[in-house]
Amino acid sequence: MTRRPDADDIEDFGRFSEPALLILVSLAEGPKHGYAITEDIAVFADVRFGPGSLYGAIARLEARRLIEPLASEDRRNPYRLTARGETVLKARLASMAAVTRIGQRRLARA
Amino acid sequence: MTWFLKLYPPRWRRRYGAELADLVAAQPFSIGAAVDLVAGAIDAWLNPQLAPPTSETKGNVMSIARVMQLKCAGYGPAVTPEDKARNVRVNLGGTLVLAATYLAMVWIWKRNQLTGDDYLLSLAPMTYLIPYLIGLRYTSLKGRSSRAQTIFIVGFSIVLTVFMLAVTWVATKI
Repeated sequence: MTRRPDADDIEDFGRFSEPALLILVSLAEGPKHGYAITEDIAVFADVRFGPGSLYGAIARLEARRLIEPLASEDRRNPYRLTARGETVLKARLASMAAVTRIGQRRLARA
Repeated sequence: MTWFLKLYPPRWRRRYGAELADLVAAQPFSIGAAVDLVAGAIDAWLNPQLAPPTSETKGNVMSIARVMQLKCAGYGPAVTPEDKARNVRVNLGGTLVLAATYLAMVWIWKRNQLTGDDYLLSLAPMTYLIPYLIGLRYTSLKGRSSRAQTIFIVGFSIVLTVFMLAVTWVATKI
């Protein structure tokens, strides 16, 4: 199955693809700063990314305008999902869900 | 562990430094986190990812100039086919020249039964790595000042050389 190429896809983030996807999922719940994102991902995905990986992914997502920083009085800048980010996340999750369904169906038949 | 943040490019630090410092300070020191920060710093130098100017910074000449400079720094539209061809020439030519030099040194040292051949062998990968680093002048390091390019290339070459010699030294001791 070939996925439709998308200019906003996060697949070409290389090793930052996985943290980028999980950051988008985390921000789908609401705005969070870096530390809160790390803790949230550790809870729902059981993965703890290092600070370099997390901000490498955040920088890429922000450069693509998939997330955006919110004004903050302290040093912690919260980020939120943009409309474009929401679209990309929905498309990515739908694609993953389709693969999951096919995989489970094939396993059930085996 | 916040010391590692100094490894990041100044522009990157200005944008994310404070946030990253807070995150690093909130975590206990670990080798894994330190390695992750070093890898992140290398990535930030090679692939600077900074957001384009927001509406607040539109019209700010300095900000626009910075973004233009960043666009010229990577594999952006400023990298011409000639630049890429030069990159390949430097990689292939440099590797061939250094490989020949390396083989000549091995031949001389082995023939005279000099000690230190283990250290010499450990430097074999440098025949590729040094031309690769020089080739970055035409791609990832394009647009940086000559001084910055020289510091990066020479500095990284020295670091890699010392690392390989150090690993060999350790290997001979165990």
